[in-house]
Amino acid sequence: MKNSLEGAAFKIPDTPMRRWLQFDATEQPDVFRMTFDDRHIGNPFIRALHGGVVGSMVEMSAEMLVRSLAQPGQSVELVSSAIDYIRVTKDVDLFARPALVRQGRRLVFAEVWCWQDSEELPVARGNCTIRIF
Amino acid sequence: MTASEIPKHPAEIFFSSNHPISSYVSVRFVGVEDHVLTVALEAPGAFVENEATGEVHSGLATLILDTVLGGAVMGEMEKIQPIATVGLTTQHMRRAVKGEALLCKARFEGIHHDMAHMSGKLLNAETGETLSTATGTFMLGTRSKPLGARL
Repeated sequence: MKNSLEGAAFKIPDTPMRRWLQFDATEQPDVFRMTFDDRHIGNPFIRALHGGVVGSMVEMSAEMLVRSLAQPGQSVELVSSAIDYIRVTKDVDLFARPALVRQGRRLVFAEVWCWQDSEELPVARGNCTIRIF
Repeated sequence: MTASEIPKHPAEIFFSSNHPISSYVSVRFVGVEDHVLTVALEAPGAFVENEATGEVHSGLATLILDTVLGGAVMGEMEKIQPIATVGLTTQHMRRAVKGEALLCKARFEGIHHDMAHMSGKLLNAETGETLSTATGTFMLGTRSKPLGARL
């Protein structure tokens, strides 16, 4: 079973949310980037990213993985997400690598790890449940 | 004492400040009753995921719930101190639609040591339909500098 976006012929939909988040693909097919902008700040005093922005990055990355698995004409919809904030974030780009945990007939479970400076120093991880229909 | 001299609730100050979130979501303080903070907002166009239907991305609910749960923590503290989200779990039932009038309610569940435990809902302001629910854990008195260290 395919467990990543490796080799996927997949294009990220250009939506207002994608543009707001500044969410894009990277040279690595299974890694996404959020290009930092001041509007992503949650704590102005320490210039940390907003927890909800990190959460949105987790959710959108998991959705992109699931969209790559979907058949033409199928839709995907996030059911739930659980996010652990592991380290303090700062005002630089955020990266995310989603991976498939299990693909069922109607539900897909995905895990996402996020980092800034180094993938060895993750700032957040998330588990997402996504409906495919 | 005039109305302008009445001390504002800490959560009201938080939501009326120049927080970066106010540049893209106008969140209006409604009130606090029995440890439940309520704010009002409209689903902004910047978060639309499906331009045909006007549905906004689930990330809006995640972002608003994190903000309002955190704001409600501020409102429960005796003195303002930095807080950080440690964990956030969100369930999504229906996407909001661009321009939809929403309420977000955050309930203070309790503080144990330096961790505040919260729950919340995002609702349609007219019908009360629940769009999303969340539980969140926040650490109180976090570092004042981004040292990149573990919490």
